[in-house]
Amino acid sequence: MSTYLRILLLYFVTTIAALATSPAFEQGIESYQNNEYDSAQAQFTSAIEDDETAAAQHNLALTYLQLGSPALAIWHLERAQLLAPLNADYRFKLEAVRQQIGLFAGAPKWYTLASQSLPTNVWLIIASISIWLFLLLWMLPSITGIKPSIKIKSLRFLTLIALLLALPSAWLNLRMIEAGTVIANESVSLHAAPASAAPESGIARAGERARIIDTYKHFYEVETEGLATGWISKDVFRPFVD
Amino acid sequence: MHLRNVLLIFTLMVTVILQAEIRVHTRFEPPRVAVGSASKYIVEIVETDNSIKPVVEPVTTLPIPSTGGLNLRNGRTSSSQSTKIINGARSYKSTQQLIIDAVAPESGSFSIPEFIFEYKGARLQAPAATLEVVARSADATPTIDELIFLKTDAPDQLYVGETTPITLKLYVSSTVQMRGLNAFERTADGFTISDLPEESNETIEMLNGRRYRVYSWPLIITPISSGQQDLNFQFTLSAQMPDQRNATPSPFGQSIFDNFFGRTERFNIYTEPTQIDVRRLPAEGRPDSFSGAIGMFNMQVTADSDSTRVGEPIMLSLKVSGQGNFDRIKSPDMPSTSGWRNYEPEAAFDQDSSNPRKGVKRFDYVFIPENSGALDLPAVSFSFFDPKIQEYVELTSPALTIQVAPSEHLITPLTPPQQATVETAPVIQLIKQLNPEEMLVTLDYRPRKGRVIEPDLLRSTWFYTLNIAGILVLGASIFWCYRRKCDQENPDFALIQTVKQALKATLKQAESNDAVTFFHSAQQAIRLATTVRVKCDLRTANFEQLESQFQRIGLTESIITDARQLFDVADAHRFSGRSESTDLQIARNQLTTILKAL
Repeated sequence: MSTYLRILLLYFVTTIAALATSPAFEQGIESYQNNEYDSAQAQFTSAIEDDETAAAQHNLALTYLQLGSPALAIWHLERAQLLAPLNADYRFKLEAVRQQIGLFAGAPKWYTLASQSLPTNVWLIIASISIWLFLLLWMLPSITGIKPSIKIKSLRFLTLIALLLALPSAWLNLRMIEAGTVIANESVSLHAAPASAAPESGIARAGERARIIDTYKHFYEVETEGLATGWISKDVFRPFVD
Repeated sequence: MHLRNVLLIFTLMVTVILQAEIRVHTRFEPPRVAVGSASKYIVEIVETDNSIKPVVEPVTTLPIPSTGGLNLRNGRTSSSQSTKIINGARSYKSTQQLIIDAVAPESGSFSIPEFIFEYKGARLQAPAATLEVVARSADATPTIDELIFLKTDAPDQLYVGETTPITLKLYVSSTVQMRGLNAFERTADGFTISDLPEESNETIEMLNGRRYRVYSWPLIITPISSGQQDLNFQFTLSAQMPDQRNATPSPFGQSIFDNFFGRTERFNIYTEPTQIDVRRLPAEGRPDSFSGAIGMFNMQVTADSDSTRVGEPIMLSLKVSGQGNFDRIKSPDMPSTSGWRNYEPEAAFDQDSSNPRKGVKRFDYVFIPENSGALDLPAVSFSFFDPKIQEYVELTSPALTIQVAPSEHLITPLTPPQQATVETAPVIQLIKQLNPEEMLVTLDYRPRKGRVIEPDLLRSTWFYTLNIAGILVLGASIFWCYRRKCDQENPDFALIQTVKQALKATLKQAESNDAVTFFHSAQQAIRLATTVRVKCDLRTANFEQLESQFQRIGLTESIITDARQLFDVADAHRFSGRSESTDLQIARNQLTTILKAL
């Protein structure tokens, strides 16, 4: 009997722990409301280290904005957007901050939003199942010489549609996380080789998005929104996913 | 003991500090330029350490005491790290460069004096650096700044909230081949600025004896903070400069091959540093009806009818036309008027297609008379600030009189008599849209678990296992279907399938306790089982034919004997016509043994 009671107690304790918000998150909100932004930044950072949530990333972004670091705010809003891609508030704020520091709003296209309707992993599973099912439904009737019924034809069509949707969506989602932003508050130089002594090949603006092409030691090779390509130090550029 | 520990820690710290060395260099690159050409002022912080890799701490500002008459702009940073291993001994080096473009207004020697700045808690001294600027010779080739430059026609002075159109003009010399605009940037924290249009207007202008293609973009700026506000724009563009060898015009005209000798480069083009004196609107003389309109406006007030009945609405329209910041014009508050009940107005703005600052804004107020008689609609006041005369202007329309006839319907008042004295319904703002500034300070108070960002699936074993399983299932299905198709086309296979089904049915009949039925089924079962075994049709064979097959497949003599006995007994039963139940157990066992052997 006592064993059952212990299990029940443990269940309740873990359930309550899961439902309760992180204390650091709550303290971060309190500090922010008291205009203690340095403390709020530390608390939200701690909350993210404990359990990363889109709200914590978003709140940390607003804190950085108050601390005068819009480039870092943009990075955290981008990260919050990746965690909660359908949140229109986050998207609006990201566009507003980007415009504040002189970038284009960078609103996502309809197909990007559509690809974000499901997580990458789900798209990959759909693509895997669809491709094998489609091949099975296509090849078996040909081999057996049986004329495919209307049900098989419909299933073939559905699997083909699922495959055509899943592959580009997974590709778009994966491409989105192979990027990052400039976290310095000033424009920084891009170099023609992974060394600061290399000739300057372009400028990356504060908060500008860039696609990571390659990495070498302390540098990333990136292509920015402004189509400038070059190597940038890891000190001033942070990818969305490490 | 404690003292010894403290001394040990102190010694270690001193050793570490001595091992880490920070040096600061300053220079101009190039150190000698012609008037109008830009040089880079570089402050280089070099850290070396033999024990740990120094971490670069980004420097965001430099307390340069004096620019020495130079025009400094476009500050940026660059950093690098390197490790050397010589005879097994490591040394680490990190370099941070703070780069600022410097342009001199005239020839001479320009110095940026030494200054002290803080880095990692230490006070570092940046030495002085000198730039030599020489006069440009008369036949010198034009500088990049003379070939490509950016201009705006921003006014020197504005008021907070005053919407003003400006034009951003990019001048590109006709000798330069522009390949494309890569990026647009603006430094204007004190303004809201409309988005840069994607399409530009292209014209030709002559300036200082040069022919320029001019790309123009109209922009609308609105100051939001008072004081001296920066308004600077920057383009990053790719262009092909004229080749130096072709600088002298050929007497035979321009060759089509001239363009092939140039090289496409990227340039950052800036407007001249511009500051606008943004003033606050004067508090003195501000009318109560002022809601932020700045510009030059006219007002027209009309009613859609001069007569109505009690309970039947009429519309009072207020039209504000002119030029200014229409987005700041709010609907004038309508005072409570005896005998009228009114509602919040509908607003509509008809913008002039040629000038976004011009247009007509219309507010439609609905008024419902509650009493009959000659009732006056409220007088309407609208005020704005005219920046030309730097004064507030208030426009007021006289009260319109409407003849209200009694209602055609008998209306029973639903409200108690004491509430009937309330003349107009209180106007309560039920919905308030947050502006971007308010939204950007609003936190998210509900942490919910977000989506998994990392593509773990592509790194997980089970994803690949799932796909390998898919390949195996597909392969197995194809193989099975192919085999089945081949078998169905083979007549021997068809015979065996038929016989197997018949054998099942026969064995079922052999369970009967009737001796004739049992023995007949037993004979047939042995024939069918032998057919399956030897894959030859023996369904009507006699025992001699079966015996030869038994010997061929190597059945034991005892099995053959059992089979013969069974066939003999069966024939005896069959031809004697006896059908009574006898003890069939021995015969069943024999049959089972024979079938197992087959």
